[in-house]
Amino acid sequence: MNKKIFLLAIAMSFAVPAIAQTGSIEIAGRVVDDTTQEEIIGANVSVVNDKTGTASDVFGKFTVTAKELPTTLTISYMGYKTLEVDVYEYTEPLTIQLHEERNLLNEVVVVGYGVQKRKELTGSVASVSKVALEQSAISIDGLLGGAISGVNVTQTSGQPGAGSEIRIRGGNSIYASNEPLYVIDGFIYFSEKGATQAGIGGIESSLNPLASINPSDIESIEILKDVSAKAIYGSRGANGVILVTTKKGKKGGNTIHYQYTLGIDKSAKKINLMNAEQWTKINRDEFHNDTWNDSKLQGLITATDWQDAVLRTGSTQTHELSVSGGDDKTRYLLSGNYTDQQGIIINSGFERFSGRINLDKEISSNLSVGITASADRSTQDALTTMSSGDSKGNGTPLAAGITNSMVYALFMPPVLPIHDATGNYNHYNPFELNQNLNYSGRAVNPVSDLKNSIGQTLSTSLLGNFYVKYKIPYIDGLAVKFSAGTNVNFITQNFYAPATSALGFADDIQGRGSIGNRQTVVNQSEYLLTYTKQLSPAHYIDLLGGYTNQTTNTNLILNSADHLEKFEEFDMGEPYPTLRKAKHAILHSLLGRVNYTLLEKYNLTATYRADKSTRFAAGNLWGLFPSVGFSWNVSDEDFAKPLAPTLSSLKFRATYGSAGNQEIEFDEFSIETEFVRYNGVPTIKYTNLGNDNLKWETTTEYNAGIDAGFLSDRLNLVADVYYKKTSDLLVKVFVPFSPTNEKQTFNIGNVTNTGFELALNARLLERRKFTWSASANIAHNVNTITNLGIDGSLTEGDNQEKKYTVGESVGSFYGYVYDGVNLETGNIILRDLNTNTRIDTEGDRTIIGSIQPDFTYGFSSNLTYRRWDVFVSLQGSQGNEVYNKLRRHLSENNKTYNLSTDLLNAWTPGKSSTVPRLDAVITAKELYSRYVEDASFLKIRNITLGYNLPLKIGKTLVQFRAFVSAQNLYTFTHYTGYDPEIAGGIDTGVYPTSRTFLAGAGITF
Amino acid sequence: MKKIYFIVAVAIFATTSASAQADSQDVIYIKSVKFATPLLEKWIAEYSKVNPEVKIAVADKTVEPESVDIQLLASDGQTANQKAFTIGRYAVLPIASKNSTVLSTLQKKKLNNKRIKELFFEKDILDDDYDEDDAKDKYNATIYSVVNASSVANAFASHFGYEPSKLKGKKISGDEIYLINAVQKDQNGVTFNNLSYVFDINSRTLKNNIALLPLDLKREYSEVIAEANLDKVIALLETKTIDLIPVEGIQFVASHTPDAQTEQFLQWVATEGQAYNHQFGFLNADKKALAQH
Repeated sequence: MNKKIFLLAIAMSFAVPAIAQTGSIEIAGRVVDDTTQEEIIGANVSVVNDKTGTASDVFGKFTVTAKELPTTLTISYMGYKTLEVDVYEYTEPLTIQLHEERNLLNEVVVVGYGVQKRKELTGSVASVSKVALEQSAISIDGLLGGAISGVNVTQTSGQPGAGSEIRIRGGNSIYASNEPLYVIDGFIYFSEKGATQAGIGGIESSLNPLASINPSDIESIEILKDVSAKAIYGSRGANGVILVTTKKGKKGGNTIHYQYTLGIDKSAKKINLMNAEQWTKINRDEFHNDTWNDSKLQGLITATDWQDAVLRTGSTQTHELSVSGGDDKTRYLLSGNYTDQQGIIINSGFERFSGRINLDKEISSNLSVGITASADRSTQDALTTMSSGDSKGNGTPLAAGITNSMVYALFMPPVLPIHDATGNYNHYNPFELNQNLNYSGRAVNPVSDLKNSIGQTLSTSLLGNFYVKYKIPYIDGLAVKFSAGTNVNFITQNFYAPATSALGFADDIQGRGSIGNRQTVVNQSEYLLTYTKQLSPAHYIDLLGGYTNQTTNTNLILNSADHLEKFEEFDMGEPYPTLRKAKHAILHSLLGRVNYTLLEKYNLTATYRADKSTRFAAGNLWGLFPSVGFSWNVSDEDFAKPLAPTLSSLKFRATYGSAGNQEIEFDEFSIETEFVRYNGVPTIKYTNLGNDNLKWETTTEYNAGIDAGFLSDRLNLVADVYYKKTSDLLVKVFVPFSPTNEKQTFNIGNVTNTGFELALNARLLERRKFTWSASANIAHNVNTITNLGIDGSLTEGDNQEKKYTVGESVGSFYGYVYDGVNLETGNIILRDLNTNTRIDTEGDRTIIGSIQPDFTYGFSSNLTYRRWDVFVSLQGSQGNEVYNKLRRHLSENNKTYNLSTDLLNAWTPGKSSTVPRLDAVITAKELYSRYVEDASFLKIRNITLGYNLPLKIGKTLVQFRAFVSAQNLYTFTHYTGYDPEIAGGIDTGVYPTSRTFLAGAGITF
Repeated sequence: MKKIYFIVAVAIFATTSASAQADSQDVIYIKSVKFATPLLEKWIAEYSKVNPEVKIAVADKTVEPESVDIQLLASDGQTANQKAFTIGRYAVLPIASKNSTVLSTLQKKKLNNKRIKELFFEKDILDDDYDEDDAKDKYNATIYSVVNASSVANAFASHFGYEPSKLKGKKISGDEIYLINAVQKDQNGVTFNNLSYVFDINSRTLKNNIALLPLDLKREYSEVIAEANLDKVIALLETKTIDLIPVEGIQFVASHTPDAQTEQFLQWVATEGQAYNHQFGFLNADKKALAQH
């Protein structure tokens, strides 16, 4: 019996350890922010002893396996203090509350060819805030307006799919591009001049090259502003660098996100034009226009608001879907986006399908590979334009200020109907005296133009970049990385102006169509060697050396034909000779960088890049761009520690170096010709005379800055002062005394930009259920031309509206000074500057304004209360001027077109007014200051109200979000045109910007 | 060999059938916070002596949550729909290892409300009582606390106006008894715990290598505390309210009205059962709370 009991005891003892010996213990938990209690997705959770780990999923949950207890878990997440938890026993899921890292300097930021702790930076690198990145936008530039000090974003047009003009710390160049360089996941993405155009000048707006990047795919945007940060991009960095990093999958399960957004768009403003009654009174009774006697007109007289006729309520809708996830070795993200915008002008819009695959795989502890690839198909339906670079276009209406059909609609006499009695478009307009718009009793109708013209750009692009990274064994910190990528972009532009339209109307045209195709292929390869090592507690180094090359090939084919009844019958028209262009450029670069940190206080960055560009003449192929930067973490010094936490961090930065600009046409150093007929004889015309001495435009820059944190970094300040000098300016000018107007590109002159920037970020309130943060920035830049060769000045524009001259800024307006109205005669008074008692073009014109703002600024604020959140952003510009050319055309002695309501207050005998007499004549076409307007503005860019609802459906936690948003809600400005944001500063009547109201809902699980 | 197989089979059958039998009986399952479990077990044992027909058991991991009849929780653990019966209280004292460097620092300036906050909590610049000098680390101590949702950390932090996440230092997961182990090993370690873990309930004195951090109290109180006798400390805290020593209730919590047998047990705990509270390091529930049952 005893034996049996013994055996029974043994058997039972087997049963119990059998459970314990399952070996491992699963530890589950959830990671949350200690203030907001919101789950932290993607936090790294590792079991210290076992060297295993995972990442928290979309609900902050994790499960790890420990071999035995007690064990230690480490929980870390960027921006939060790393937490260690000793697990002695496991009885219930853990709730891990991570505390947000107060010290901004510990943040890791993306820099050129790598990442760096902000604390170790010597240069000026600004990041777009996460909350700003989460806002609804159609393209990247929509996220940048007002977000970063010194980054001036100007919408080029309200046309859906159009881009923005971006200037970082002012413009350096007169002729070469001033646009910054974009680097998307390491791939250099510079949009060459006209990259989204295929040689058709008749399409007003060019497609935004950045439209192919879906903003909701973006994880971070960093802006490299000063030379220490951007010199690593050498020849491409002079205008600043915008680094875009797209989202990666995160370890730990799969996350699916879908969001739908729907909105309406309305013109943010209307131009005040006379109605039929007002116009009739002035046109017939004051101007005594004889046209009113036309018998056919009598049956037509009506009251039409032509502005309303071409404007409409637009719409926007987007679908976004992303699936992401990963495990210890693999991370992936797949996303798709569909955007459809119907513009606020009839027959205009933008549609985009885009997809992305980001994949990273750790093949072994030393070897990892990855790919980022995106593809998109965009279609932009834009206005056709008469301000054409197309030499074969019908440019005559342009002289009357008619730049496109929308502007022509503004000009239309309000007494004319859109449709005639039969319901067809009314083509009878006896007021139109321009034979290019009205011939044999048949006139152009702008509504018909907009409905029937085609100004379409189709873009299909692929951007893919593959990398392989290998950590060299036995040499800790040494790694080699190879990457290769390609950007293939096919642009097709379809243009059609029917015979009834302004552009196709002329007797010798009678309907014109063009089909342009541009193929651009950019290939890039990079070979990088990095060595990162904490050599001792006092010394840290981060070395980079590498070689990159980028080749760009473009092919362009343009076919045009006249006498086209329909665009579909393109082959039936009278063709023009096919235009073909093929260009090729290569850039080879050697680069090196040393980052050295001593005692975690003193940081040195030295970079050197040598670029060899085929865009310059032999002998000048190489450009060498060095830079050096130093920073001092003052707050880590013993003498500064007693100041903490009132002064929680303080860093001084100083940098010096140079960067270049090569963004001119591919072969401007060489002679270009085209075949033409001169008096019927075939001959060769030189379109570019070439220049054997053409070389790099170089910008040398000094920068000094302070990063400071106060009150435990709840308030952060970044301030910079800088001086930039751009030498060997690339300028393309007509060759003096040339009989055939050849142009030649030279290196002439210098431009300086001097300024300061200030940015403040404050976390005003941080409570569990209530948080409030705010950011503000302001920048001041003085742009001055300091040298412009022997002549010392250049002019731009048909009537020399802009003048580049030493001592003035790039983009200065040149014209007469308007001294108001002669109260006795009602005439315009122009100032006789040279006091020779007459007004003459040479002596009486001067600089009367500039497109350069005195300062630009932005403000944003984010507030969360329980499940609600509110985001507000403002953007402003102060002191810049715009030449309102559209207003001039709507205001001056004009008996054929509609007029501004300002003229209702025109001077009359006995009536004092600031508006000249109605028939006051100004014969000069040159600019005068009456129309150079203060274009300062403050825009309410975005107000978004969101509601977040976490729900448990079955066993799945689901996060819902709904939001409403108003974009471009209101603009405070004295500017009288549609919008004070005018790229280039001359408002000829661009597509108006819209006020957009959006509502959206999203789900994440 | 066959015999062994047979025996093993019998053993497995025996254990599973026993388990099934237990399940089939009408057992009152009580889930308990760890630190109160010894007291609960004592109550069950003593109650079973006088009511052998009633089966009461402490719910372990194997008991499905829906089978749990009532829970014994630290106060504030119940939700709005649950009913709570306070049947005892626990007090929390700050402690360190006997050789702690912090002890010597605090001998000169004993812990008052302000210094407790300085020592234990991360202060926020926006906190009403923020003081720049206070925010500096004067003590060079490592604070240990637990991460679990239901813990004395909640009681301690909320008593001084903080969220538990504001506690400085290292975190441990598991029973709060491990906090004692942690400071026993770490000379810079400081923590806080309830009396039943701070004191050896058999010897009624402090556990090995553990010292109470000196509190800035009236002399008559500090003398009692300094004596470090569990019974005297309990007697003091049952009669006096001392601001610097958090005292919180332990409660039975049920999501529905308890059945008659459970109700009887609760009544017993509220009366006869109170006699065992002190033995296990707990204070009796105050009379008002008991009167509400």
